[in-house]
Amino acid sequence: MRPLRLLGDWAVLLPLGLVILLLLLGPALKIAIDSFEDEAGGATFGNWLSLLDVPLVRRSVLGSLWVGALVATLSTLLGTPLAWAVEHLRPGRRSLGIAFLTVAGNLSATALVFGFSTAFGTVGLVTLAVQELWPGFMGVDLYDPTGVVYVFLYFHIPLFVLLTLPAMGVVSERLWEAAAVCGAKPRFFWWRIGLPMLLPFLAAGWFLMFVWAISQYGVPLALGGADAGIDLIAIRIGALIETAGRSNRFGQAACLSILLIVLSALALLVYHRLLRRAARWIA
Amino acid sequence: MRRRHAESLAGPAALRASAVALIALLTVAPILATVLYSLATVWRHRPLPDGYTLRWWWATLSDPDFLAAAGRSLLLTVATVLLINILVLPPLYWSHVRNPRIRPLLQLAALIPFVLPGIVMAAAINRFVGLWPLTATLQATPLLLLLSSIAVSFSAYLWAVDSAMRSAKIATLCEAATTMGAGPVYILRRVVVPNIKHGIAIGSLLAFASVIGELALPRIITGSAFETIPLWQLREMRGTDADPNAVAVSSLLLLILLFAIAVFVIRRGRAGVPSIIFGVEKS
Amino acid sequence: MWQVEIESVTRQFGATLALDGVSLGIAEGEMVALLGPSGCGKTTLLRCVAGLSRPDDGTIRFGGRDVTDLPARQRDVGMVFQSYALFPNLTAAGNVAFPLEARGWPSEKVAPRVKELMALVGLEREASRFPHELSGGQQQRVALARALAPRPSILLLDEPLSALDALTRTDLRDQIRQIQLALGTTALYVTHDQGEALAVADRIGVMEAGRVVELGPPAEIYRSPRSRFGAAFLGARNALSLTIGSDGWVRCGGAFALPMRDGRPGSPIVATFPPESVVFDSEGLPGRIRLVSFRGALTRFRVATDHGEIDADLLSTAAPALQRDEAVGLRVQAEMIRFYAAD
Repeated sequence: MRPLRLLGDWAVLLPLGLVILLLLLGPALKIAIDSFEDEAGGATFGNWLSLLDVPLVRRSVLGSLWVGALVATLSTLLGTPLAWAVEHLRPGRRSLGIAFLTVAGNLSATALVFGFSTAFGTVGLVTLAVQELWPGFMGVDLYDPTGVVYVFLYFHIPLFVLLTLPAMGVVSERLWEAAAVCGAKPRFFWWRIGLPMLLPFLAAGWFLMFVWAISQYGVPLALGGADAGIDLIAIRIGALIETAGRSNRFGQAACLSILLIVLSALALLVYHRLLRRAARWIA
Repeated sequence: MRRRHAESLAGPAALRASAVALIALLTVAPILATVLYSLATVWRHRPLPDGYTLRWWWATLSDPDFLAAAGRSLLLTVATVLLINILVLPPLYWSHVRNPRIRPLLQLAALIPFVLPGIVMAAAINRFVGLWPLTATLQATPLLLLLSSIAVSFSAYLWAVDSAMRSAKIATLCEAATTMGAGPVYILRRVVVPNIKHGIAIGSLLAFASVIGELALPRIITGSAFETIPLWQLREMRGTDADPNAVAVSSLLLLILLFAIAVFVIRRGRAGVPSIIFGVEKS
Repeated sequence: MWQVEIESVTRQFGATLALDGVSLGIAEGEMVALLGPSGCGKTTLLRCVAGLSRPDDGTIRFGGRDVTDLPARQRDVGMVFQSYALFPNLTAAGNVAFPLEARGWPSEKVAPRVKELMALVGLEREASRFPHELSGGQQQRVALARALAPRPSILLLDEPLSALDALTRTDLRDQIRQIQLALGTTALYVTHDQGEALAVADRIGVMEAGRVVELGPPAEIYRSPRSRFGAAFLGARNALSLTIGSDGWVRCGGAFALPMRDGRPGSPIVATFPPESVVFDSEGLPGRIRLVSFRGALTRFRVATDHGEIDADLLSTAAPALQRDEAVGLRVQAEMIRFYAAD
């Protein structure tokens, strides 16, 4: 191919490509290298081994895996019927529903935590209102590490719904009618056609929610971070960086970062594969 | 007139409507709570505040720290959104009109920020940039923060605009325009931009929302040297002289700003937000 | 007794009256085609028979049994959709087995029946493929097999060929008819394509604005349509506005002259006749050729006359080698002309 034409075809990608290279890929590579560096600058596996040794680090890894899986699962279980409901609303109400969900899913970390605690916390607006009817209701204790899950769900579920909304249309009225004239009862339809068709999309959504959950930094930070006993990889990385400052004790943070990247990449890969297979049904 | 309740695909309408109503309420609750908090004189253990005042609003709006933070946030966000438009729109346009092979690269690029969580990138970018004397001058500067924000937030914009280009069939339109003898600039001005205006607006809105709420990047890259609104809020939330009312007011100001922009953008067309998230497309 | 009886069925959608008291009977083993333009109500009627749409008024009976209030899945029907509507997550065989499993057939009966049907539609080797791996024609054949699998008392087809390309269309059309005849299945076939209806049906019902305006065997309707709409829809494409003469005859230059039994002299009238009823005769109505269109077996001449444009179809082997702007004379075979009051 003539070089001038090649340039004309690809040059436009250069500025963005440079930004990505210098600000995403380059730094990522640097961390990968850093994870094998010790304080003196030599090569070592020590940082990685310490991941297994240091209890704090171990706890944060397990914590993230647990929270990630839990949030992803609950988002999928609760989000699926909700997505179905929203998809089948009348157009006017549907737009409204989507607007609400977009707001809920995109609140900034501090606004979210503040609003959540003011509404659902132990002395929150909703909590107090519910207590008038049901005195046993305690609201969400945001000083307890498990409160993180509730806060996460608050914006993961809307995100899940927004994500799977287009997929809901795959189970069309036409297929429902075809099953009806084939003599299928509703339950049979859902068991043999409806759910199997939705499953790849829901599973893809699960993996995306997992990635989203383990990547969260701002929200857990606003909830108190490491000092509040919140054990997540992202928080641990943040804490390590701040104590390490600009010194070379960056190795552990680097290892955790790579771990986070690998987890995310794997989950995204599964997500992508699932979607590609399921997309054949939309075409 | 003989009509019986027909088994429908969508399920009982009452159930769907109540699910959505519940969600609407839960979504609104934190915002409502924040509003009340920002207007409350004292709020003891009762669902509603004792009294109302505008004191907190005046206080925050006249707080020099807040105003400075707001200024920085807006500067950063607007600059980021503008640059995202400049960096991402041309390659997208090119991928539809001249070199379709750019498209898979762009899609892949858009997924990268999800594999590299914010906190990790924040830490990595500073260190990466510090490797070479030429770039080391960028360390901990607002400029670096700007570039990083671009790298981390361009994905939603890309999906929004790409989706708009696909549904407007930009490729075919430009082909037709070319056979009619129109030049590239004319086509861009009269054919392309008017048809994707909505997509650009939504993409910019999403990028705007993302950057203005960013916590990890400003905290780690520039720290207190460039205090944005979220950082300021964090200080007011967790600091020794915490002022929760300020957090409430600032959150609402941000929300109002986003809401105003969203209404302005979404009013012009159908809510195309959900079908563009993470590149999942509904045919 | 009719196998399927539709009696005074009415259906309204908001302000539109889709079906206006339609009555129709389908005999056992008969294929009736519902023919008409979009919006005439043919699909609505089909869906009422299927149980997918509930009529506001009227009765539907299968073999004497009132099924009007039965939901679709309890009626004994098989349906083929325009968009195939195959279940994408099941193989071709899986799709065909679906209605059997849904109705609780024992598994040892399902497999042989599926095999039988796949062979009937000529797709034995594609049994384990998924719908997205099959062509449009193949998918529709799977859909047909699926509809026929449970031996339904009636087969319903909703514009089954509209989504296919021209060649597949004619092949599949004939295959559908052959299978229907071989199995002796009662069938209701909806289409907007006149040629399709004429080719497959035992009887055709032409619909307009929610009513059946013609009903009868294809040849009969084609030759002697009762209504002007039917005439226009079924091939009597030429329509000339003429006036009844003072002697009670309708004349059209040298093309034809016919007495009107019950027409007031001086009143306007419309004469319709199909293109194949027109012959060239130098003594006939003078005209000038506007267009010559070779269409394979037939050649169409569009001729401009004082009474308007007339299309003439002649067998290509017998057609004179005339060209544009040449003068010709036209004569119409009287027995093919139908008159309607001018509106």
